[in-house]
Amino acid sequence: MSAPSVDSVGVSTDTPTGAPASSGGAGYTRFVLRRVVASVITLFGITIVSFGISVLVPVRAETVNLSQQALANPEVVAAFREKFGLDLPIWEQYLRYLGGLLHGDLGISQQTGNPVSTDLANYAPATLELVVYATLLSLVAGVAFGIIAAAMRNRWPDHLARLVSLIGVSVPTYWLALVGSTLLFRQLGWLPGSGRLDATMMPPPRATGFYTIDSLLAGQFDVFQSAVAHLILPAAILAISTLGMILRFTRSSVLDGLSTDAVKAAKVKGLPHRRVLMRYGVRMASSPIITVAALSFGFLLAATVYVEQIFSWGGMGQYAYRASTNLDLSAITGISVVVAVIFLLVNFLADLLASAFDPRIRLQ
Amino acid sequence: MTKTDVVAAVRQATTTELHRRHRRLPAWMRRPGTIFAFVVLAFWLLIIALPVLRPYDPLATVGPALAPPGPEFLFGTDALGRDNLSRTLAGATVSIPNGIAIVVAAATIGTTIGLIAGFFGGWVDEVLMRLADLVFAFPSIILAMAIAAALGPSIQNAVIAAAITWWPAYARAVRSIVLAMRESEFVLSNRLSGVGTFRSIVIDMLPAVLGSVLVLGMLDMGAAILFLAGLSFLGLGAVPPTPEWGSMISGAVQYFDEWWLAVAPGLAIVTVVLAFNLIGDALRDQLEPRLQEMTGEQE
Amino acid sequence: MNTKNPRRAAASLAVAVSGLLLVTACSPGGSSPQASSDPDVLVVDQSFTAQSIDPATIFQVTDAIVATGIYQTLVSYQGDDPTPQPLLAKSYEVSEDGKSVTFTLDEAATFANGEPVTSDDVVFSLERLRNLKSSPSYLMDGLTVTAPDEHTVVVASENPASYIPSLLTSTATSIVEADAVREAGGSDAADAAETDGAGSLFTSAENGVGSGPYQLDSYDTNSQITLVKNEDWWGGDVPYERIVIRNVKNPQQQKSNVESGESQIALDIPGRVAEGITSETLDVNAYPSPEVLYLAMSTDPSSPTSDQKVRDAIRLGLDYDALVQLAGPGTLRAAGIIPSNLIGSVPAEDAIETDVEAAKQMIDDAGATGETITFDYANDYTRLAGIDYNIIAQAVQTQLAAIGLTVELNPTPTSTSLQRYIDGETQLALWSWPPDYGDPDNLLVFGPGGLIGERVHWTAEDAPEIAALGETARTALGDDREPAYTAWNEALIEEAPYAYLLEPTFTLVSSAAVGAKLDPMANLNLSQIAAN
Repeated sequence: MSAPSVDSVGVSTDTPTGAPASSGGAGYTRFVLRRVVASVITLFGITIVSFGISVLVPVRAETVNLSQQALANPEVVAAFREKFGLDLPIWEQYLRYLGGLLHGDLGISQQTGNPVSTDLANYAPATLELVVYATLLSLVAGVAFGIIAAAMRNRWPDHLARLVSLIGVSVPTYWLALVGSTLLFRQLGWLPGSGRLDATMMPPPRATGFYTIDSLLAGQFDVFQSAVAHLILPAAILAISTLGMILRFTRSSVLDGLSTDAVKAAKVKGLPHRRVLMRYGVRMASSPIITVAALSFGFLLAATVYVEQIFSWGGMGQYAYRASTNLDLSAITGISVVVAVIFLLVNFLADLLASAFDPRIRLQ
Repeated sequence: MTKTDVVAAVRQATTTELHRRHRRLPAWMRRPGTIFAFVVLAFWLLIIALPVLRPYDPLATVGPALAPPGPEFLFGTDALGRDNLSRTLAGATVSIPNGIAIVVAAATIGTTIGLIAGFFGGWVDEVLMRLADLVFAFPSIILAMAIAAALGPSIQNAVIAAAITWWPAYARAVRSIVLAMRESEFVLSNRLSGVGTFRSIVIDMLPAVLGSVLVLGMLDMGAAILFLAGLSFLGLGAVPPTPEWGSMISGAVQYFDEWWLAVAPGLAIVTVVLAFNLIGDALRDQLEPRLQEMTGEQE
Repeated sequence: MNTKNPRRAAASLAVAVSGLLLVTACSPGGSSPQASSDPDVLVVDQSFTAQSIDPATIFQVTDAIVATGIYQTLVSYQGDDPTPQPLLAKSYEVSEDGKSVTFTLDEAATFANGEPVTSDDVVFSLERLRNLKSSPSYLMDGLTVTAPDEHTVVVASENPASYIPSLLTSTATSIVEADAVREAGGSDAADAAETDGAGSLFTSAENGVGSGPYQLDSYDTNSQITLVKNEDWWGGDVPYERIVIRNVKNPQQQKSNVESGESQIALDIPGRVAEGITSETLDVNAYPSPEVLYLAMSTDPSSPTSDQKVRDAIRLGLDYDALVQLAGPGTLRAAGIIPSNLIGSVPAEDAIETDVEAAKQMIDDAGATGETITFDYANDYTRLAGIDYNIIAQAVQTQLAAIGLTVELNPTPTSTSLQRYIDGETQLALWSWPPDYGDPDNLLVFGPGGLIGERVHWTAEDAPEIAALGETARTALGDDREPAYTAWNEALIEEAPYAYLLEPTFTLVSSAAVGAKLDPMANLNLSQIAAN
């Protein structure tokens, strides 16, 4: 890898705690163990921060969940607080929470009355479906154009690609969502404006929670069509926001790959230009691309908060927004933990994959 | 790529800024993109510095409510009859300096922590990096929303909330550089000849670090402005009637037929963020080879 | 290892699949916005605030709407009639002394699970409402429920309580099938708050415990709620096979949906936006809402508003016409806290007239020129007919600046704003009071020492005569009620630390074929929507 390169979100892609050396099993085991321990500590920290927030925030849980008349009745307030364990001192609440966490119990959401794990199981697939497709779209377009830009360095396709990608990261996602929605839904009527499916359709029988997959599995082609139509606009908008980052990253990684001595040697040997590009440039770029894909995924998980609001998507973004403004402590903590787990998992897998592609990445 | 291109690229990569004598502006400043960016930024700086350039008082009702763009009001008026253009221009005073503040604060915190972690290594490094991971993994929006909700809505609190979620990126980048440089020859030789810890950090590491942080900061500037606008969009940043681009877009959501209310601040954000990104991009292209030099890494 | 081919193959596959998806998605039929109106399915768009569909816990708007489809109350508002009409009770009689109401149940009424509606079910439901100690439990304060026989229920109170029939239109008083709920762990005993375990019964599909024309099919508080037809409904034919209530936050989105035919009813389109609807196939109707948007001014010494003169000056200096204008077409001026469609209201013509000069003078006399007041409001509250509180607040800020007061806005999420209000920490606050039922009795909370009065530190000792007027109004009977409430209202207008801004109107956009209407409480009753 080249010297510490920083991409547009500023994370050094070759953090020395990278994927294991190709020295075989022992390296991997140590790496996995190390990562797991680090992740657990991080998650632990997240729960502490979430609980800490509740102490700082000046709103009492019952204010948001009870009617105003009920709030005036101390008996009702007491019953509510007891039901959610809010009458215990904060450290005891925290310990109870941790205990529950070990059993996979994330507590009860005050706003829905359901266990948080149930809520998340309901909403997570909607968000994941959106983010996965958005990441894929972004990757396909970003990598393709990035390679082209690198191949045609400093010629007009390169400049155009860079300009487009820069504009892409300069536009606020929610604004783009509003503009896109107005244009493509209200003015042109090409795409639907809200929700995941046509209102008159029933969701497919639940297998993965992804409407696209589930509808195909059940053979409901019309539901599949509707799901895809509803996905296009929000996924495309999300994709645009990370497209620029992936494009630039691919481009610089490919160029890095191309500037090695090995390439000079290859050219001297007379290898055709195309093969040089693919074998050296793109191959060198594969592992950083995987890393940046993981990063985009994480970034998009955050960006969905806006997009889900605008498209009434019914995913974790909306749930998180409601939880944050209603100060639903269990939900906030639950979401943070789950999102962090997803984020850490994705990065972990990316690091493993990256090392598979590029055996030179070292473990420290 | 032609041969001359390759030669030029190689030459560029191997000649450092410090040794080049030139009477012209450095190459990165001469690119069309950067020139455009500087023009845009100069425009906005002028707007911020000279309130008199705004056609109307951004806080006063000057016309009929929700008037479309016309000769009198170039970008129309909002629900309270205030001139949209003036408000958009005034918004620069809020968004740009506060965006810069976020980056400066995050960079300062991050660089300090990164320097300490990279230099001392060991358990200090572990603890600090786990902390960075924690903040990094925590969904930034939720963290920022919660902090802003706890502290109350105001631009200052939004800046604090944003800086708190932002510093890990800087810490990580700085730490990487420090780690790579720690083993490089000239640092080792300095330490061997008795240069103390603190001086070593300042003299050896800081210059390389600063370059990287500068690039990162410039690239982040745009994102910081977007983030601030996003917080305001969610209702947790600027307090009305202060015009701020994000809250203006948020207010425009329900006035969809009055498209000018969302377009003006949106375009403003895009131009400013684009300008910062262009400059940061060019800077990075220029400085990266130099960084390679200083960290002594072989390719 | 040759990584080129697998990667390229993967990339090509991805591109091909995307292309395929794009083609299928854009093909006509099934996915374009125009094509989805199935006459047996009713689609309703609303900005959700759903929380729980257990009747004894209902107090959010979305839940109340759903409840009108799957449950029934003893009496309800039907058509335009503002007096409670028989529903599960085929008749009711108020006693001479006004202290009790006797309801005679309709013997034909049955629940969806086939059980007949008996007085045991009524007593159970109402007692459970009381004892579950949830948000709407206060409705049963001071009331007792007895069942002299299987088809008669008597609801009584110690003091004359003329509001009982109105109260029993509230969806929280919906009647559920007692045996099924008991079997699921439900309880109406005094300790129900701890022992009741029937919560999950109410969200399970087709649970059969309601007597309404529909049954619950799915309940997702974030995206949509679906109802299915109750095949054996005792009340006759059911017009729709399914009703889908969707969460659509953006009013513009709701407008687009209803215009394109994707939905048939849109509940949250503000009047201003609805004015732009020209389609022949849509009905746009405005309904006065029984609530008033008001400013609460603290009488706590720490606030500049503790000075009576300052409060009077504020009332005098506000530009009410401008605020009414900002709130959208159909909005009315409010003279007092009792809205115009309830007894005891004061006509809008008699409302206070703006006099900016006099107000400025009063502020000057009080030595309060240049004083700073903090103005709290909820910046994400969209329930009130789509009125943007940000806009109203900024307008008030400008208006008060004109009389010499500096107003600092403090917009926070609803939760935080409400907390501050409840804790009595606000100096100036913007709120409305959504009514629980169509009787001015529920507005007595605004009196000195009442629920709202306490938030502005206005105690019964501060205004004993008004407190007395409130008591008189509460216990008045028959024809005495109106003058009693009017007297109380007028006293409040004179002395209470509130400024009354406006009465919003709710706009209902419905496809003409469906022809939906709102009831006198500006609520949508699903069971009253006839077939197209």
